[in-house]
Amino acid sequence: MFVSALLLIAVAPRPGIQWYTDMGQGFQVAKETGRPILLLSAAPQCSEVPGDW
Amino acid sequence: MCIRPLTYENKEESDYLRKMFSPRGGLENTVFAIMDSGRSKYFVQPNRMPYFAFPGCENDPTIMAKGMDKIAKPYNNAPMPQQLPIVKGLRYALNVAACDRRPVVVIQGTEAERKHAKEKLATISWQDEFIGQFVFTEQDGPASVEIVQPDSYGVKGTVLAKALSDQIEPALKDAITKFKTWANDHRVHLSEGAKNGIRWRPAVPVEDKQADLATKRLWGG
Repeated sequence: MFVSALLLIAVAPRPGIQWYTDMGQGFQVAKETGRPILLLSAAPQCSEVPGDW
Repeated sequence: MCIRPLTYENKEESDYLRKMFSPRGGLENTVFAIMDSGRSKYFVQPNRMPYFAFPGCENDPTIMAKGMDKIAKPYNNAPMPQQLPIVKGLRYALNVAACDRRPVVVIQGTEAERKHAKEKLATISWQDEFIGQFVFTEQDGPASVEIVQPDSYGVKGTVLAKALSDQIEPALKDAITKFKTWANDHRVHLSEGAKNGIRWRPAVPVEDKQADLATKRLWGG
């Protein structure tokens, strides 16, 4: 369920989501633009196997 | 705008996320929140996943879309971001790209050459045609922009297209047509990965007890 819910966001149909992965860069851009922040952390491994959230 | 930090891959970021949300003491695999640009006010309180804030969105994403539209409405005229989102390090970028099933754009060159390429790409990447279609990273090397297909585990890649930064847009279009996505059976992905010894050691200890148990079950120990 976690994975499918995450995929709703992570693998969006076109146009996709331009994610800032680096938190510092993302916060800086938010400050520059004044845009609200949607934050969703995710581990790029599942059970230490890479290639899947 | 959207920020997706990698849980358990950076101590400073993990500490920040843990302060935001750790109902059981440790940092969970995922943290979700919506806040203002100065991080002084939450529009959506931190929680584990979007469906806590937007019940039903796991089956009907329009529920979440409507809720987000409401939050975003006062900011519709805010300026667009000017910075290209960069994943630090090719190893991470390949893995993220595999998770998202997207190509990786590897920007190479001196610092000045990379800056020029990033500015160019930043303008292009926010166009509807390209937005969210790529993962970007940078490294030293001869000046070029390579677009790479990750393998399904994000540990290897093959070059789909290559260009100097002034001819990048046709190369991006070319890479989109050449990119081969794949269906993913989560259980098969894990079992095949473990069978072939493809293991990713997080940089920060995993604090999510369920995730830790699942790892021990898969790898033993």
